Amino acid sequence: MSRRELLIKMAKRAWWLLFLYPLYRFLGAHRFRPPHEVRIKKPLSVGEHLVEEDFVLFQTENGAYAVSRTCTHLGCTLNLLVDEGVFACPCHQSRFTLNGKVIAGPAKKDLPLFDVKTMESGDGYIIFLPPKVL
Amino acid sequence: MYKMGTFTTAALFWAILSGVVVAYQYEVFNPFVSTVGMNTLIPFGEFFRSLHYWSAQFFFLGILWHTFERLSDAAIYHGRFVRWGLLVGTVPMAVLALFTGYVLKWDATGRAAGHIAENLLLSVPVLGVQLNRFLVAVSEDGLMRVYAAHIGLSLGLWWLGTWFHTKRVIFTHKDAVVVLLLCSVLSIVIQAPLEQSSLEPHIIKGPWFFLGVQELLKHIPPFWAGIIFPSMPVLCLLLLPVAHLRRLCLAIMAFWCLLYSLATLLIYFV
Repeated sequence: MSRRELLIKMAKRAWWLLFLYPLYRFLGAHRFRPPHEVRIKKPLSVGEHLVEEDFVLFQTENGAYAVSRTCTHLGCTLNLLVDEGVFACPCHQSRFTLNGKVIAGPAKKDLPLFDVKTMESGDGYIIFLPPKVL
Repeated sequence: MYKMGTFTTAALFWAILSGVVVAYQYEVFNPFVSTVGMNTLIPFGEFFRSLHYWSAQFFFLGILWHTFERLSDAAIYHGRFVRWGLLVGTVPMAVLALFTGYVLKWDATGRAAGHIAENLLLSVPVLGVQLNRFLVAVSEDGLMRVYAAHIGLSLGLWWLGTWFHTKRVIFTHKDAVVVLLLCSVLSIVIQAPLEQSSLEPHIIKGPWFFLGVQELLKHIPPFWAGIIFPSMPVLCLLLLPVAHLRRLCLAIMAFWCLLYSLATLLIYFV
């Protein structure tokens, strides 16, 4: 086979590779999604807590704080076990304190805390969360 | 000799067709509610969802069986690694198609499976971000990419299984009817799994084919338990055409199957 024939044969078989780069760029692009905030229009007394889908809000003597419910191992949603005073992962059984510190693995990182602001009227909270679609 | 192959193709045919039917009532931005609605409000919704589920399960079991029964054919692919590689590729593609389908219902276990898959892919060095963006990325884009990947994988499997593998669609009218009747009866008797409430269970167990990985993830770092370990039998399958590696690959695959079965039984019963 001559070089010319080889090149023609390769071109005939590999022309579709030209689409790979545009396809890679198109599929790989992602949209900017801004962080969002959750408003809780309910004041909590000291010692009370509120379980939301993405976080748990605690009211202490020193103020309110919100702990993420996303396990730092592989992202499962943590359950709050009130009696035991811990967060537990239903997927791989990691455990965390109410402050988000790891007690038992396989998770290695502590849970993140979200910024909490008390509403100016004093009858609720604003929690600042990372972007989320669902 | 090729009977299981034709049954597998017929099951894939019904899985794709019932998937198209289900898609008419599925909302990707409201996945859980629309799936529950399908089960409870839409006439025959539960039946078609179950038909999709069971035909996909049949397809998956069929492709595993077909791979097993054709292991001895690996030798004739010596020197044709691209062709053999694409055929072997249908196995992980089938796993991913089933897994993405499991995530799409977005109940507590589906949601957990989506986040686990995302974190596993992100644990892959260098390519992790890209792999996640092409297949899962539930944190960034919800189920948009999972849905696209689910459809793309199904079409890819059809293309590889028919046009590429056999150059034609090999299943008879009788095969199609047998598979459809079998799946229909199963759909009426056993519905496709869905947790009816969004209450969070204390223990989440993933899809049956993922249980072994779930158990290993408790003890081994995610990259090794969720990426390397499941890739081992695929790698062995790829190397089967190499004569001097064949016995070693078969031994590793047998040992892997034993280990995976033990891990699955452990999480299932403990």
